[in-house]
Amino acid sequence: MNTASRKWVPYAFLSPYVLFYLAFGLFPIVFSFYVSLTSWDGIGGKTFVGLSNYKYLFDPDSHFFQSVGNTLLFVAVTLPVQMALGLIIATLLYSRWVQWKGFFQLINFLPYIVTPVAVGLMFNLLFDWQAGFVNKVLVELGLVDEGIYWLGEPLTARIVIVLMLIWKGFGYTMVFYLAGLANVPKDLHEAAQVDGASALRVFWSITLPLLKPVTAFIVITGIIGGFQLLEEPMLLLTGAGMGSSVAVIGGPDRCCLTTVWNMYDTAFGSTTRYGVGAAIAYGLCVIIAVFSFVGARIYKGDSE
Amino acid sequence: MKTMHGMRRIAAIGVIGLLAGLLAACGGGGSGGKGGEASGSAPPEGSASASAPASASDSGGADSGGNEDLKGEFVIWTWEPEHPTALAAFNKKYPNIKMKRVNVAAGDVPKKLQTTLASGGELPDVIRIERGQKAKIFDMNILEDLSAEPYNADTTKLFDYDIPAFSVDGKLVAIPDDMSVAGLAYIKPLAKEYFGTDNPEEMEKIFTDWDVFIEKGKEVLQKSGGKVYMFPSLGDVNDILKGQRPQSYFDGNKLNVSVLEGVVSLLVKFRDAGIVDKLDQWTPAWNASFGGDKHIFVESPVWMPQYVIGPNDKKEDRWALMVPPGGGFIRGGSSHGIPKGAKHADLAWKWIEFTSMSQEGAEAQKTDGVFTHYKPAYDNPDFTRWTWPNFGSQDIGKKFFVDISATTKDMPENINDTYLDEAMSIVLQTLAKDSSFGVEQAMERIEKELKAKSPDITW
Repeated sequence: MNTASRKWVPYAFLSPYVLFYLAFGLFPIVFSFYVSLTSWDGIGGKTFVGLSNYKYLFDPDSHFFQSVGNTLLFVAVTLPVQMALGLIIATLLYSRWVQWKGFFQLINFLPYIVTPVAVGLMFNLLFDWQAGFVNKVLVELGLVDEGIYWLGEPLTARIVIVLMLIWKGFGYTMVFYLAGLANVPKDLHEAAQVDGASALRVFWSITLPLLKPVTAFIVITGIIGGFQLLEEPMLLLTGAGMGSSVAVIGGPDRCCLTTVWNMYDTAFGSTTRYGVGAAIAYGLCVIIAVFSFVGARIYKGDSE
Repeated sequence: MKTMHGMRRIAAIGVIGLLAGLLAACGGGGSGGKGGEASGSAPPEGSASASAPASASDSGGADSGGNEDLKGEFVIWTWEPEHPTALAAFNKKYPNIKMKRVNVAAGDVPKKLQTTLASGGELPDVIRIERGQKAKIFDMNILEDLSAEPYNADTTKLFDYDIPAFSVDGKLVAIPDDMSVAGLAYIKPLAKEYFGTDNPEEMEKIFTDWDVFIEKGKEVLQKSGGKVYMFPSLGDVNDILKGQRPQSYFDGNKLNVSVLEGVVSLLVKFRDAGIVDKLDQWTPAWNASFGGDKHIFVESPVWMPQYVIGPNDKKEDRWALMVPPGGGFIRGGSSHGIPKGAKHADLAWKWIEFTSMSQEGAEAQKTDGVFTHYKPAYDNPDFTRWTWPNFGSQDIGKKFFVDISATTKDMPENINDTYLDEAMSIVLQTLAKDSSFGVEQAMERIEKELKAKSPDITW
């Protein structure tokens, strides 16, 4: 078999991936962009409306910027705490003072692998106004006279979501920091100790700067992941609903409506406006792209 | 060298196989449907082919007036567990019709319908429709008119209030399955203590309208030192008042403001009187309230004793059922509709007709714990007789299906009602936590929410 007759071989080997990508990657991307330019309920025909769905995103009724703001708030509050907590635990686990390292690594990582639906429902039960464990404890300890309406007030509902996200996410940052710590050369630590540097000084001046690439990676992936937040707040705030009862979308005053939840509700939930839903998805895509771009620049700057 | 050559051949065959599989999977939309059809080996749509061999015929089928010529398999989307007695009775009558259940959660039915339609997929032959999703599904305009050819549903066999509720533009698009008339259940010892009687008929004489009810509630609150409430949740009150509204909330896209304002005003009155506890419906606390002694009344649809009160209150003979002030109302319940173009609509219709519109079906379903909307069955007191341990010896069947049913009405709903339901849940939550939130603010909030969901709605 000569070379000319074997030209098809690379194409043949690449084609399964390319076809998969065209069918399940590129086509949905292009099609959903086309849908975002139409008014469509999935049943009747599509009516081309140009950019009016994108224009609608600037209307307060679309809740687009409110949902982006909520999502940013959750990311801005939870990510630093998750990182700090992850770093502290990773440092402790990496130190020589902690026994049973594998066990504690597993225990701290477990919340991250709990399915988001279960997390939402679990916190819903914990923070239930009347029957929740948290209120029972607070009342029992005499800290409050009657249970706090955690999920009924905007501020407390947000606090619960932040707590939930921190609990779920710190294990993820811990694992990355553990890997980062393993890559910090031991001789640098030893040299600093010989020079008389305290443990805190070593951590601050050697460990932390060398963990910068890991930190940048966590920030970028954390922001992207944070923008995709949906199941946890949705289940937390609507999970108790059964039968014909209608849940309040986005929690009290839509304080916890995330961008993806807004998209889901617009396209598949209380309304079926696929066009607006697709426009929200593209709006979110632009925001994620901007943050990823900025993050990548920072990451690149660090590497250099 | 030979080995290399062989390896290349194997790799090439592998790649071709993978590609063929991928292409087959991508083009599988149409053929998948055909595969499904073949499994039933059914004759073409609408046929009652006489040529169908009556293999191993079941004499029971012929005796019970069945039709063995109807043959094939129909597909139903449902979340409901199988009703074994009803299915066995149906199979006896139609031994050659098979049912294929596809499990779809009640709340997912509209979504699944929409995505199936949008992707050009195949719809089932029957859809079970939960009341909360009814308006949305009806609005899709995908259901057959069951009062027209070839179905010719006999609407006289249903209750009068069913017809407007399951019709769109004068076309009957679904047949209600399980009864969902609702009354008012109450805890007898509490009623005796605060109202001097626990007899349902005497209670009905005391509570002539909601104003009297609110006044009595204030007395209870005072006597109990603020510990005993009339209802556990404002959501319960809303369900009742909404169910009793004199007219539809919407006439097309026009909101009937006076009707809505009437309901909201009464809700505010209930809230201001302090006679309703602040529990959220369907929460553990709300469920637990049925086993306690802090809440006298609760709305009670037909399914409430079996599915809510029973599991949450293990004490027997503690409850009684009465006609609410203002009469009975509808709460929950499900219906069946046939999508336009269903391949086995004829078979699907036989299932609906048998289970929801025949005496045999009504009796079989009753054995499975379901009361159907087949009206003639309720002429027989033996059929309506139904007791439940929590309600002691009270014939709640008679109370539900005779006394409450006689005062029940139902209103048609459209897609705008689903938006209003969502707006009302926000209003209810705010009413419960903010005592300064009044009728005016509630109406403003509803207007804002409705405008955001559907700009076409007019006031």
